Amino acid sequence: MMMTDHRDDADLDALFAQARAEPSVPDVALLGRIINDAVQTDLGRRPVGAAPVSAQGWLAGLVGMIGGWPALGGLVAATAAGFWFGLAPPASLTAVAGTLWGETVSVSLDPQSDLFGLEG
Amino acid sequence: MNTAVKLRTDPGPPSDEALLVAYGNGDLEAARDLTARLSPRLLGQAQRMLQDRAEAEDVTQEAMLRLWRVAPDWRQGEAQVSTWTYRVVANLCLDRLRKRRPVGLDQIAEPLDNAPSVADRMQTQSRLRALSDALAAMPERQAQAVALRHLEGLGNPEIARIMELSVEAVESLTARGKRTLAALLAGRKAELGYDDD
Repeated sequence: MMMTDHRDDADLDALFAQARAEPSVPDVALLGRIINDAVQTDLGRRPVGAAPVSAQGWLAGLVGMIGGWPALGGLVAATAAGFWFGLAPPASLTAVAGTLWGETVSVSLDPQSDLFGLEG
Repeated sequence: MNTAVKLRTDPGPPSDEALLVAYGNGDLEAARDLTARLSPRLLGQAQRMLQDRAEAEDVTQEAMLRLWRVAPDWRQGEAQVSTWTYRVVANLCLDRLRKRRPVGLDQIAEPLDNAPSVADRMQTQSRLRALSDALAAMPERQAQAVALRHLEGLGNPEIARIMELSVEAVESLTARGKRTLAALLAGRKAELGYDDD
């Protein structure tokens, strides 16, 4: 049976409308992958040691701390993207720094907390 | 006194093309802004054609990667980023649709009788997946024209630029594509909950 009458046309138009109504919001992980690609592509185009022209502020500072732009790996770019876009808390950067530097330091701001479970 | 001349006099947001050129010159903040601006639309286009979130995300990332790669060679005024990205996403989706196996009836989710809202949702998903599978079975140019016209809501002149065709050719292609799509879906009307009465 061919869908050639008005009813079939209406069904098809309704289906198109349903498809258009579906939400599609990129999550932080996807944004991170895209930004990582942008950084890696840019790095691949520039001489070793040269910094991007507009890498001002926190990103330049972070990169400087880990040994300059050539040391910038996908991990930093991907995780930093959430902060960069304002979609994730800066705490995520702490985890990345810990990974890169080989240690993670946890600091409790609550003097009453029992970190080691010694207080029964 | 700073004698530097500010070339940008327009206080409005920079165009996609300006951001891309800036990124091509090493401006990563331009890449961030372009990502925030383009990625939702690219993901939406891919999702509507593929009806598969993981695949749509891969297509979005791949399209953006291709954009990053062409950035240094981009010439403002010669092409629009939106036209370029619509074309790239559509082609990447068609590549994936071509490789897709036809979905058998046993793979279509059955609506649940006792949970109307869930059943409605599943039926919607089944219908949208059937639409995507029908696009996969269509001649590629028809599928591309139908998707751009009816899923993205673009006008024929814009589609003509994307597909590098005349407006008249787009009109013809879209009309034929819609008929093909209707014929492909006709055999699944009952299965997808379209009653004949």
